[in-house]
Amino acid sequence: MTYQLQVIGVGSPAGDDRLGWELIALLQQRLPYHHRLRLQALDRPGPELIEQLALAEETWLIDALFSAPAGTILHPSATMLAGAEIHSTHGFGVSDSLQLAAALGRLPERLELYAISIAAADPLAEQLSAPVRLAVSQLAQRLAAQIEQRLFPATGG
Amino acid sequence: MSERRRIQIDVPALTRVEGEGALHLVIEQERIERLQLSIFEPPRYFEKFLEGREYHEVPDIVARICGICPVAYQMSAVQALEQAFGLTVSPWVERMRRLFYCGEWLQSHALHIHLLALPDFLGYDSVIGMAADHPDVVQRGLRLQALGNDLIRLFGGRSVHPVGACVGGFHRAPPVEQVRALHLRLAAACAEAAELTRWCATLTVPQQQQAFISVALHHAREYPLHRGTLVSSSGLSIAAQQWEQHFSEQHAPHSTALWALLEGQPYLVGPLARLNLNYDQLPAPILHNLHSTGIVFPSGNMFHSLLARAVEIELALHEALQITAAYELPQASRLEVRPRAGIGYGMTEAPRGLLWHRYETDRDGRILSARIVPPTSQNQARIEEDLHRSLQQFGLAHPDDAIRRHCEQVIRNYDPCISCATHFLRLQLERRP
Repeated sequence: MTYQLQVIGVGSPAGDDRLGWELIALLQQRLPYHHRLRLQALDRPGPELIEQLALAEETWLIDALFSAPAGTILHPSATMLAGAEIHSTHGFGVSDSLQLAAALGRLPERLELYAISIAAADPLAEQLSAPVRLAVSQLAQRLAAQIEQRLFPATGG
Repeated sequence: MSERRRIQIDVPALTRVEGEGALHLVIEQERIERLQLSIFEPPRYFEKFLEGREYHEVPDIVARICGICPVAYQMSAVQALEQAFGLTVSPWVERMRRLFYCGEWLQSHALHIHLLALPDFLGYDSVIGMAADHPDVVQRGLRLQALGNDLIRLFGGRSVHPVGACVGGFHRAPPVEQVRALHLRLAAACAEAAELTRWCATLTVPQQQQAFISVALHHAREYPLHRGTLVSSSGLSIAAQQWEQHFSEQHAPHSTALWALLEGQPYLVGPLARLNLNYDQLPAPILHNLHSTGIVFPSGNMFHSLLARAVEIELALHEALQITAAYELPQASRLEVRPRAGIGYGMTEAPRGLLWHRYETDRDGRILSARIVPPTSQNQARIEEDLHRSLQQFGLAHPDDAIRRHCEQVIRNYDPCISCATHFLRLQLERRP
C-alpha cells in the first residue's frame, strides 16, 4: 500500500456529473501535500477502480447519484449503492466495480462512499448547477476537516 | 389447429453516457416479422456544437463524445485539421500518436473481452458471477485494461480526461523515465497477451459463416491504427476525402442515428474487418501465434471478433513495446500551426472500427462545419443483417430466453456502445391460439 488514505472523485465532463472532480480540486486547494495522502480524480474508471482501490489502506469514494432533490449529500453503504442509479460508462459503474471487487476478494477493508444527488448530466455543460456546487463545497469542507484532523493535527482547523 | 407463437422482444431506450439503443423483434410462426435496431448517436449533437469553435478546442471537445475511445476521436480530428491547414507532423509525433492509440486499443479490447463478452461465451449473466469461477481470467482483463489506461495517461496530461493531444502534436513529451517504466510493464505483459489469443481460440463459439463486406484502413508498412488508405473486401481503395463518393448515410424511420452504407450495402468495421483485411500486416510472432490456433483469417464467422480483439491486444503491446524501446525526447513535441481556410479529412481505427471526420475552417481556423461518422453507426445495418441471419441459423423455435440471450450476444459481439448494458433486452411473449 502506497498511501494511508486516498480520496477518489469519480466523474465525467458532463455538467453535474463532474462533481467528483470538482470536489477533489477543492481538497487539493485546501490541503497541503502529504506523502501518505492521495487525492485522485478519475474519469468513469469502470473496473479500473479495483486497481485504484489497491493503492491505499483506506479509500473515500465520491460519485454522482441520480436522485432527488439535487444537491443532497448521501453517505450510502455498498449495499445501498447496489440498488441506486449511478453514472457509469458501459454500464459498469462504481457499484458494479465494488461488487466485482468483492467477488474477487479485493474489496478494501476500509471504504467510505459519499454521493451527491444530481438531476441531470448535460454533456456540454462545464459548470455545476447551483445546488450541486453548494453540496460539493459543503462535503469538501467536511472531508477536509476530517483529513486535517487525522493527517495534519498540528495545522488542522 | 397449430399453435401460433408470437414472440416480441422490446428494448426500451437506454439513457446513459455514450450509447443509447433499442431493439424491437417480433417473431411469428417461426418467421421474423420485424427486427429493428435503433442506436442514438451522441456525435450528431457535437457536430453542431463544434461550429464556431477555435480549431485548438476541437481535440478536447471531441474527446467528450466517448468515454471509452476519446483518443480515437482526438486522432481523427487532429489529422483532419492538419490536412485542412496543410500541416505535416514530425515522425516523432506520428510514432507517439500510434503509441497513444495502442493504449486505447489495449484498454478497450481488454474491457470488452473480459468483462462484457466473455460472460456470454462462458455462460454467465455478468462478469460478477463469472469472477467467482474464473477469477484469474477477470484479473487478467483488469491488468491489461489498467496498462492501457496508464499508456493513455502518459500523454493525457491529466488522469481525468486525455487532453495532451493537439493539432500539430502533443502539448508535452512524456519524460524518459516514465516511458522506460511503462516499457518494462509492457514487456512483462506480452506473454500473457499471447496466451490470451490462444485461450480465446479454444472458446466454443457458434459456427456461423456469413458473407459480408469488411471495411478498414490499410497501410503498406504496418497494421492500421492511426493512418492508412481505406480499403474494403469488395475492392475499394480510397483516401479519406473520397469517403463521401462511396458511402452514404440515411435515416431509418425507427432510429435517430444515421445509417452508413457502402454503395447501398451494409458493411462491417471493427477488429474482425481489420484483421480480415490486414492479417498479413501482423508482426511475424503474432501471425505465428495466430496460425498456431488453426483458425484462419479472413473469417466469415462474426463470433471470431473476440479472437480478433485478442490478436489486436497482442499487436498493441508489440507496437507499444517497439516505440517505447526507442523513445527519446524530441526537440519539439508539436509543430507550429498556421490556420487557414480549408477542408480536411481524417480517418483512424477506433477500437470498434473506422472513425471518419471532416472539418471546414475559416482563415482563422474557426470551425465552419463538422461531420463525424462513428463506427457504431456504420455497423448498425450490419448488426441488423447479422441478427436476421444469425437468428435463422440459431433456430427460432428456441425458448424465448435463449433467443433473447442470442440476440444480446450477437449485438454485444460488435462492441457497440450499447454493449455496455449487460441486460438490455426485455422480453415480452405473446402467444395466439
